[in-house]
Amino acid sequence: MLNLADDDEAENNRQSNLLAECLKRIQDQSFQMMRSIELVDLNATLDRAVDILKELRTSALAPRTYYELFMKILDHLRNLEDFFMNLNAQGTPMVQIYEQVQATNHVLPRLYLLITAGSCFIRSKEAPANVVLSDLLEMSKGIQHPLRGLFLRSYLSYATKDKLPDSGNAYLEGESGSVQDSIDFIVENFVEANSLWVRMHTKNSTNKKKRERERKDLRILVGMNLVRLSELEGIDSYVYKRDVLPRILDQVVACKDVIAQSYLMDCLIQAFPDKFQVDSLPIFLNSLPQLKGKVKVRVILENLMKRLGKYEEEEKSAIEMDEAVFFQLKDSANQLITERPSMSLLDIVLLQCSLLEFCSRMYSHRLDFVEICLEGATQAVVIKSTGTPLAEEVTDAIKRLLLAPLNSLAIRAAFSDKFVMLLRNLPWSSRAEVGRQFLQFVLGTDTTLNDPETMEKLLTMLAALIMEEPGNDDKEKSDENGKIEMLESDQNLLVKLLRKIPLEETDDAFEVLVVARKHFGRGGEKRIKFTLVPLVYIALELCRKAKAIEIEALKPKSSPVFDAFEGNLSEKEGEVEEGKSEESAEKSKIIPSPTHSDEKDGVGSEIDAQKNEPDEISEKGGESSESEYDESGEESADDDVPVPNSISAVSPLRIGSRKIFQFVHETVTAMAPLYPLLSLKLFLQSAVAADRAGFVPIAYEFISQACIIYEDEITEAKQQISATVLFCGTLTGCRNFPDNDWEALCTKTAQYCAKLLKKSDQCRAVSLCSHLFWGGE
Amino acid sequence: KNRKMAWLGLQPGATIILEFDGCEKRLTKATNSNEKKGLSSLGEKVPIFEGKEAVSGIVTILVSPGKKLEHLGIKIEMIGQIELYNDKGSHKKFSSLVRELDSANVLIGNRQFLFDFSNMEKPYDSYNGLNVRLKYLVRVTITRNYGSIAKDFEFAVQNIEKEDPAVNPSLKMEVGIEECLHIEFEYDKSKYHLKDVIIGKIYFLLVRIKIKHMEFAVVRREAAGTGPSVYNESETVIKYEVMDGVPVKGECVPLRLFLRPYNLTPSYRSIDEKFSVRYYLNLVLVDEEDRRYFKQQEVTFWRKELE
Repeated sequence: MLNLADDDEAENNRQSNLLAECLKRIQDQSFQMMRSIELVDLNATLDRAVDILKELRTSALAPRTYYELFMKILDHLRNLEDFFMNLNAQGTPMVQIYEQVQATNHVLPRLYLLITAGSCFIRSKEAPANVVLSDLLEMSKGIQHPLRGLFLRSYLSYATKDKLPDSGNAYLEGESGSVQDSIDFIVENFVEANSLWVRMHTKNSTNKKKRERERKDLRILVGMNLVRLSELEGIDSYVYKRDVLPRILDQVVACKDVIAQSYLMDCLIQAFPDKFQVDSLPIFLNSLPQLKGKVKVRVILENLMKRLGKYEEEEKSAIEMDEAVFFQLKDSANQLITERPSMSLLDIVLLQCSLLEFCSRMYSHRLDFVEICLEGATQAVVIKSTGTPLAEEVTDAIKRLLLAPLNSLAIRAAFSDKFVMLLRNLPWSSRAEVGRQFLQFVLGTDTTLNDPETMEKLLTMLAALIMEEPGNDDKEKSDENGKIEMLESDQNLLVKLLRKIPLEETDDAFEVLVVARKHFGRGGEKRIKFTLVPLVYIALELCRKAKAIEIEALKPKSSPVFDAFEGNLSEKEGEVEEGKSEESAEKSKIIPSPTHSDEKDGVGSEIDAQKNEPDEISEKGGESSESEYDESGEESADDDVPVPNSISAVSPLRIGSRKIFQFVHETVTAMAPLYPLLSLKLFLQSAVAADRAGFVPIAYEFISQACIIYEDEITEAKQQISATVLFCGTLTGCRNFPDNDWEALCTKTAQYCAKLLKKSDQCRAVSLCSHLFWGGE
Repeated sequence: KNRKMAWLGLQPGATIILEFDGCEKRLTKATNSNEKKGLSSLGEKVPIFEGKEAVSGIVTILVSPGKKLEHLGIKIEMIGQIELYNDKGSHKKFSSLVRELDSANVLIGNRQFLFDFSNMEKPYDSYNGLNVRLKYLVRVTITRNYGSIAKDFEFAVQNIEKEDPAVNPSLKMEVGIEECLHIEFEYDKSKYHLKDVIIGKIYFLLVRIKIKHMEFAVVRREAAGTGPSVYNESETVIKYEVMDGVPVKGECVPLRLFLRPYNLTPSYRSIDEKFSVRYYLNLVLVDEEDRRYFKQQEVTFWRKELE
């Protein structure tokens, strides 16, 4: 390595020494040339110019050094050109100078002089531009040495760039040529330059690296011709498509050189205006499969799509990109994939990814386009991976691919079977990661989840967050904190999804919840405590809403006050407490609103808060009126929810609040074996809600369930203590139990309290319990 | 020379001056310049006559004031001769014509005589080669009892053809070395006038050798003498690089050479059976080891106008 660096440095020194010598000689010669110019001595001037130009015949200089020399000599050629023009102004015919320079013995200096003279010839307008141009082009074939030839042609291009017949310039008139001539000239020069460049390719492996580096140093000399073409005003999109592009592509394809093809395709993309690109897209794309196998066609396509994408952004005008463009790009990508079996999976996925990103920018609402890309990637994964685990880069690429349509389509992307199919091909952890990002994105939007199908699809997609990888249960048991934290935060994210369910349409919301429960239910022990508890609370809130609607439907005509109040409430919603507070809202005729909001806070977050007694009292007050209401309401109640004492009537809801309570019941029951205390709390909480909704039997059932859990599962003293507190609190919160039920429940609670392990606990509990036995009636 | 002798006291007593007709308008040519040395090498400038043109003019004899010149006759001779350098400078007159300007007489003061060789053919061009020279001169001789006075006046002759050759096919040839190199070249004509442009193309059909560059050359071959003592001499009169680098198969390299700047002569075929001058176009490919591969093609040069 060190040796190599030394070599490089030695080589650099050698090069700069050589260059210095050349420049020294040139300086001397140019001094003499300038004197001859002053003396208006054409012969002597040409002799000196030839001496200067002879330096360019060297083979000793590396491309970069040669370039410096070339640039230096260009300065002197400008002086020469001025001299020629002066001679011409004084009466020397240009053709004479043009002929005279051709007497130079050496071909390289001769051609530089010829080009210089030719440039003046065109300027003098003593000959038609197109004739001179094609002569220069033809003569330049004399240099077959790649490096020297490239530079000569670059000089040819440079010297003639402002003399090409073009729309709106002076060389277009009459016989001096057409734009077509200029096109022909540049294309031809390009073709020749490229051939020379390609010829530098060597099969000799020892020098290969160096040669390739040298070649890359020179590529601008080839690409510049394309820039010249793009500068011609006279080329419009049609001409480009019909004449320019096909010819260039022919050359690019024909040169069969990896470096050249990669570079020139990119040049084409960058050099010409976007409209040209769009209009001629099929032609461009057709050439891609013909490129050499080692050319990174994917990169070319990516650049093209990026370019087209930018076009769209810049234009901002509502040019809806023709959908044909997508199909062309897609077909091209597919063709490449099928015709290049060697293409790596990574490349294919990245290609689809670019295509998809392009779609998201261009056709933001086209799910079908996205699906096409996803399907393409899926197929590739299926075919190429053949069961072996995917490489990390590939999974990363797939992740990128899956997340690409988020911005344009949001969760609609996840609706796609194709999306799911592809997702399934990822390892579980990657799927989880996709899910996580996806979820975060969704949560950041104002998406609403109001239909079960959406929820179903969404959660199916998020399966990797919701549950353990199938067949992988044991492994994770001995997990470190990091993983657990991750799991927790995932579950919390998931739960936030429930917030996206609009509860106003209770029927829909319920169905969505059912779906959510189905999925969350698969989460296993570690997860459900994070997911199902919030779900239950949301369900309870839903109960309240449903109930409210049912009651509303019973009312002959709602008072404006009530409406306002109801509206106010639903605005503030968002927490479980509303399940109860709503109830009081119905009784609002008697209960002043401050109390009501007070209660809201009280019952607020946790069941423990229900110890708040003033609330309970006030609610009890309300409760009577509520039951009274139920009884009186002739048209009230619905078939689904046979509310006690109510008479069936047409309910506005398909799914009544009663059914939702059933759902709650099922959910909590399912949790009970794993999390007894938690379930107990939930049952009690639900009981309060049911009570307030007027479903006394249901409330009773909930409490009974809590009792069963207490008796069967709660064995630890501490848990028993807190459970008894909960029982007391709950019962204080309930108002509608008929006396016999009430007594049974109070007695049961009292028993629990009395049977606590420690005397002190017994005392405390019993005293708490004692509240149940007074007041009330 | 005459002047020198005058200084030495051997004065001839008379000076001969000759002026060709139309001298001031005539193109001139340097006599002692070898053809290969550029245009402007030093030498006496002599007038150029076209082959069929009459050579005429005035001879003036200047006799010093107060002297008289007694002579036995003055004659003028036009000579066309070929000199072979290697044959001990032998001069062979292929053409000679004598006119008498004055019979025996005594001249006092200046005297002028007109002369006219209008019928004399000058079939050959003046030529100044490596081993041979063809020249024309007019010699004025004053015969006296005690040593004659003679003076030569050289002039040049150029024959021109105003019409382009009726048949002038292009030269086309495919040459090569088996499995190494195949080229095909084409020159647009086989006969070029001296101010012509040679336009050619060289197609590379197969290139397996590492060519460094390609040159185009014009070679003159002069054959002087007769029989066993013929001296052949070749010289490259134009050397012109036409290609730099290694071409690939299918490449076509153009050639365009303006002949005007070079000092060429027409091709001469067996001039008075003494000498020939032939021209060849030589295409030379030089490989990286400086081996030269070449192919020569004879062409004819002809003169279209005086120069």
